[in-house]
Order: sequence, then C-alpha cells, then structure tokens
Amino acid sequence: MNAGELTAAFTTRLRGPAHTHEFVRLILSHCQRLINARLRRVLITNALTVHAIRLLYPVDSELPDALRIESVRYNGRDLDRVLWPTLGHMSFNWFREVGAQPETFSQLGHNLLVIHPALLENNSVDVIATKLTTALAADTDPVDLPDEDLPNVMDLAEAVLMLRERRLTAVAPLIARLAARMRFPDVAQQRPKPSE
Amino acid sequence: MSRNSVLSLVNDLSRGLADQGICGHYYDDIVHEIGQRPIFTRATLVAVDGATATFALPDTAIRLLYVLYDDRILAPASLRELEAVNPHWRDERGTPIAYVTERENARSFRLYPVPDVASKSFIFLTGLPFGRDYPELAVVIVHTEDRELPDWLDLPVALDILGREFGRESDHRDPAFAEMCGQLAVLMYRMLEL
Repeated sequence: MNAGELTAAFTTRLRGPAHTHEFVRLILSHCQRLINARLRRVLITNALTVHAIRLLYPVDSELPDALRIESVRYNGRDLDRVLWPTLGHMSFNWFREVGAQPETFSQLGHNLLVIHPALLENNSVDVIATKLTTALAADTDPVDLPDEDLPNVMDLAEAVLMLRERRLTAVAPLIARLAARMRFPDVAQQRPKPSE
Repeated sequence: MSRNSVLSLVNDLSRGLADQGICGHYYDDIVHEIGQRPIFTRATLVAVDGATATFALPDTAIRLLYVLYDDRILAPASLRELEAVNPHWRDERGTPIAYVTERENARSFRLYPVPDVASKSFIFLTGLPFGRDYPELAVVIVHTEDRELPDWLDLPVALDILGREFGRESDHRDPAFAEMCGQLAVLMYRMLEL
C-alpha cells in the first residue's frame, strides 16, 4: 500500500468537516511512526563502520533511519547491552580501551552509541533498530507498516483529527481505547510531563 | 526545521486560534524540559592548557551528564568532600580524578586536581576526533543540548503545546480541549519511551 491509498481509505471513514488530503497524509505519517515506535513491527539492519580506536558514535548522523537501537551484532554475535555507568564499573579506562572484538554496546540517550572495546582497525557491526518509518511526503511513498497494523495508525490519526474538529466527547473514549491497546491504561489520568 | 513544523502543526490543529508567539515559548520550554533528561546528548572535546582547572559548558549545553579526562570518566564531587580531602584542594595539581560544580546553575565545572599537563593538539587528520585523532589528555564533556527536536517528535510536541496553550487564561481558553490534547501527547510520549 502507498500513502495515497492509505489516505484515501482513511478519508472515507472520517465523518465531520473535511481536512485536506495533504494534512491527513501528514498526520498518518506521524502516526505510522508512533505506532511502529511502540509495536516495533518494522526493523532495519544497518552496517555501521566502526573506526579504529573509536568507541563513540552519533546515532543521528550515522544511523538516520534508526528510531531505537534494539541490538548490535559483530560477526553474527550479539553484543551485550550495558548501561553507561556499567562501563565505568568494568574499567576506569573504558573510554579508550581497545580489544580484539567488541563485547558490549551502550547508549546515552537517543543519539550517543558506544561500542566497547574499540578495535585496532576499521571494521563494521550490524545495528538492528526500530525503523523510523518513511515519511509519507507524497502519495507514492510506501507505507512501511504491515496491513494488520494500519487500523492502529488510522485510530491514532482519527483521534488527532477529532481533536482538530473539537469532537471531545468522541475522542476521549478513543484515546482510552488506544492507550489500553498500547498497554498504557493509566494514560487517561495523566498530564504531559516530559521532564519526568 | 522542527520548530517551524511544530508551530505549523499547532496552527493547523488549533485552526489558527493558538497564539504563535506564546506557543514558540512553549516549544522552547519543552526543549529545556527534555534537556533535563539524558535523551538528546552530545560529547564535546575541550582542550586543556595545563594551568586551568575551570571549564565552561558549551553554549548549547543544558545539563552536564559526565566529564571524562583523557581515558577516564571522572567522579562528581561536592565542595565539602574536596575540602575534607584537602583544605587547599584548589591549589593541588596532578591528574584529574574528579570534578565539581561550584555553584548551583553554574555553567562551568572545575577539575580536581588542576591538570598539570596540556592536552595534545586538536589536529584531526582523519576527521575522527574520537578515533585515531583523539587528543590525549583532553577533557570530554557529555551533556544534553538545546537543539531542534527531531521531526518524529513534531506531533506529540504540538499536542503538548496545545494542551498548555488552551489551558492558560486567554480569550480562547478551552480546558476540555487542553486536557484531551495533553492526554494524547502523554500517550505519544509513552509510545516513544520518552
């Protein structure tokens, strides 16, 4: 399915005031990314060049399609994921350690990836990540999620558009159902607190 | 540009009712709130001159997370701890083992002891400052930063802004709409594990 087909299918189920095709497609694009972020349906594997004597890699520039790193593999072997402080517990000098092969990976936030220890020569690892799904900028852009997940995308998009239409009595139960389906049943009682 | 795209979404979703100037301030607030948590992080190299112990945070830094000296991660220390170790700790010179932030909200930190050797030159022949070109005996500051949020945050941030905008006192205040926007923003943040 492509973005145009999804938008057309979704538009036929909407009731109330009309929204432009481009705006509906934009909302569907955002919602596809959010649903995949939660469900992890579409993964990508990217080869990351690990440079000699280098542990730190910025995810934004090196892996622009990666929304969330799930695992890292070297020569077909999964590296252990550790927390950043654990690296310091393993060794005071972890930041410049070199070894025969990488053993662990760690992340500090979304965009700093550590592959430890570093290698003496350039090599590569495979980074498996939840995909930042393709932005639906044109009708011909492909929809990445499988068909069975598109009802979730459309429900989330419908909630957004209902808000735009101020159909608040209808949107409240839809948000509650979505939250339950996404396994966050307590969301309906919360206010946004990105600082927590 | 995320800021512009977020404010455009806010305008579309509010059908032009939201105050764009105030919503811009809400965007900045959200960037700073997110910056209090280790989500969008950066590592910055800083040269050491062999005589200075105090280093300023980069202009874009919001919160200092870690300090490394050469190949070692430094422990955060308090003024009391350092005074207990040595009343003249500020004059002590050697290989840094800890750092201290001397004042709350200070945009600088001090190494203990004062590094007595300058770092190697910041010449990055291979373009890899954290690889082969890493200048030994330099300081690495790991921090969150004030930056444009990525595009995939546009929708939850726009809804978060709408929740704040329509919850405040104004001629378009709509508490029920604000609450629904807020709930949907929370759901989206949780889906993104933020």
